[in-house]
Amino acid sequence: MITFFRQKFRSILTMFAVIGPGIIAAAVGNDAGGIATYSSVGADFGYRMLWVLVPITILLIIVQEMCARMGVVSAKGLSDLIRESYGAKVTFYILIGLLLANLSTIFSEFAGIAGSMEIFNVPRYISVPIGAFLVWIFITRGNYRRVEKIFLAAAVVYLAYIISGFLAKPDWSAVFHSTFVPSLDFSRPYIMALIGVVGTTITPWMQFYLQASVVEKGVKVENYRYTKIDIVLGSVLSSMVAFFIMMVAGATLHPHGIHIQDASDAARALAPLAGNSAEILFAIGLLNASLLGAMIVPLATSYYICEGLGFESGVSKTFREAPWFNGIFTALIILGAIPALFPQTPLIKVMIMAQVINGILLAPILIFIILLINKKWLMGEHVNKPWYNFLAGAAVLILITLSIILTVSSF
Amino acid sequence: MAFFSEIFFSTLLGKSVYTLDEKYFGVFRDFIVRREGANFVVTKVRIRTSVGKRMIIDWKDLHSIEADPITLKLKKKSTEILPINYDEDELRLKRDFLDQQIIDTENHRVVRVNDLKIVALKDELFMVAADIGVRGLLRRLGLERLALGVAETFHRSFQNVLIPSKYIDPLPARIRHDITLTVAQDQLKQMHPADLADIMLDLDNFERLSILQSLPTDVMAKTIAELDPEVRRLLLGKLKDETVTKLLERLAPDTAKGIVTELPKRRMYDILETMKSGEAQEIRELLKFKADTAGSIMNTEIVAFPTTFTAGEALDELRKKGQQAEHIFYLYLVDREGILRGAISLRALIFVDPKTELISLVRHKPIFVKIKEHVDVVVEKFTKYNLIAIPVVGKDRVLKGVITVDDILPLLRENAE
Repeated sequence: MITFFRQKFRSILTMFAVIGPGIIAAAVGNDAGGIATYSSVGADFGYRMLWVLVPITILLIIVQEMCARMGVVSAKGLSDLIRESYGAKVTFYILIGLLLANLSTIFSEFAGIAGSMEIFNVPRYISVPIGAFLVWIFITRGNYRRVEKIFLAAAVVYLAYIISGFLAKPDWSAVFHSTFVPSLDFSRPYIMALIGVVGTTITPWMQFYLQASVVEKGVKVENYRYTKIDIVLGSVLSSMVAFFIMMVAGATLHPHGIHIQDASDAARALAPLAGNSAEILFAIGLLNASLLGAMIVPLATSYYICEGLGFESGVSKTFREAPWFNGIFTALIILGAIPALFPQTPLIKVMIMAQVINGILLAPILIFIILLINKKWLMGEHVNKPWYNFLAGAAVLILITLSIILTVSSF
Repeated sequence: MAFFSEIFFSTLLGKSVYTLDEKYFGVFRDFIVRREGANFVVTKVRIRTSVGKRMIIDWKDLHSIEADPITLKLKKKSTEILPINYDEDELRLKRDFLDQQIIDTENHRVVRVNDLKIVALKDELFMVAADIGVRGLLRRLGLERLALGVAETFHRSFQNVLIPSKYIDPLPARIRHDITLTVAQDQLKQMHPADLADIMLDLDNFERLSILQSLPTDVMAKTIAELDPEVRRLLLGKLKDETVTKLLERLAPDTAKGIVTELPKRRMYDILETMKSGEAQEIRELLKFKADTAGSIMNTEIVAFPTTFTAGEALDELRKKGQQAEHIFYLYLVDREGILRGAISLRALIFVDPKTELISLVRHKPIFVKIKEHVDVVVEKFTKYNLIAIPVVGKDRVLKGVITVDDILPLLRENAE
């Protein structure tokens, strides 16, 4: 009996040691763009888009599980694997796509910094440069890991949405109905919002990031089952937050016909919880998410590009030692920050556009993930099971269809 | 045979292959190579035939490679061509080199290959260098000419960055699930363990393991000792207990102790249990000392002589037993109770008459540290007296071990940071 408990205890310990990448990825995923997209979808469509989160969660679990499995088995990053199996040309264009999509994501992070600080009456031409400078310092000083942990801890702010959700006294029966009964609509705004939600929840860069974290963590194959738990937990958690943001916006903003123009509109969704301080609470949450994203996305992008193309990389390396690596993330920070400086830029709209670009790039990335994970020489016995391939294939088909509908309907 | 003098491998990929009677046969897929000294010589050619079948043919069946447009021509008619297999010790350029990571054994780093340079010499083809530069990458993207044009307008030259094939060791990317296959990593075995440890940083765990296991046990042990602690933790987690035991036995007790303490407690005891009793005992002794004390970093393998010895006797003894000691900088003199009486340098020993008594060579009172002394004090004494080794004594000044300068170097660096 005692040995039984000891074994249980030890397996729990192993679990805690392995757990992390999935949950962290989930917390990072709910970035500025995420908050903006979920809030404005809630404001525009009420509860009508809630159902989407159920299939998205399943999709997210499937995709992240595949990446994590590849990370554990191959001990290599996604861009490494694409390069080694599909050559320089394919890798280059994928990475260019990723670069553009991530640049738009980085921009939305800076838009988040600008928007949140405007609530405190700090003009964007002050907050954005300072934010960019801080981010750059965090990365180049090499202590971003520590900073990352602080930001992640601060992600607890998201709980405010869950509490606010209950305080808003939504029509629960309507909420449940919309969650489990899909309501389809083929209008362009609806499809665009749909792709935006998919694009912000399942981002291409997130798959690269997750796989890299799993590799870095050095999870052993025999402990992989704990990583699975980690991923399911993380995905569900991230969808829960998305669900509550959308629902709160649907309950508070939608009935009044408020369409989100800037961050302070979105902040009103927290009014049931925080009353007059809703704006402050929202601003803190958004600022935290934005800074975290503005730090991780440029850095991660730079890593994957250098990995795939074979340039020297590493945060502790100087500009001379790793010119491409340092150059890319510095350029991304600067280019991402500039558009956020201009007062005419419609911040929320651009953030949502960024998610749509990500949503479109996702399909080709997913195709590569599925191709790679079915390679016997790479995965050995850990290749996909046929039914799993069927699920993943269906997911890709849905995403491609959505992107095509979007592209066609924009003409 | 008619061949170009040199060509980049990527420009051949997917090019058409014709038979002797000018009939379309298929497309070029890969060269099979074998390592011969400094170069990789092409032995076979891999082709995808017009009906989509993959076929390997002997290199000798190739007639020529035409330059403009690039095409390959075979010596035989399509009916005469016989497919063959390749051997286990042969490598494939596209699969094992192109786009893969290789080890640059000259600069001790892992790099990604953008292209490969092929040279024709006396009717044979050799892969002579790996292209790791931006120009090679642009060539793969079909942008090389454009880039060269741009460079020319600015009067800049745009060179290829090449690694000669003698400094190339391939990494076994494709054979992850077939570990029995050993790859020709000949260069690695001659590298210094510290350089190997540097390379390990850039690799994934699978590659680290496969390289480690190809090394002689001695080198493997030293490489592990040099590794970054985080990498070491990952690797030791993957090695069997018996392997770890064997490795630790090869290392000096103080180094072995340092590594063993990084292991989880239970595993540490399991491994000490299976080690040779002598070495395990020495490690256990070291483990008794609190961290950051002189005892915790000292080496117990020491060279000590009775005060009554002559220089000649000492030299004889050294030749016999000196092998065991990690370093011999100073010789320590002890009396019958093992109490430290003095220290003399090896230099002093060599230049005196063999009949000289050792005790007469002692110039001043020995400098030493106590076993429970904090390492900061040790570092202080090292710098104050400009030592390369210092004896460690226990109660009543009984000699227990020695700390050499390489044991405190990491501490010095920590202090500096």
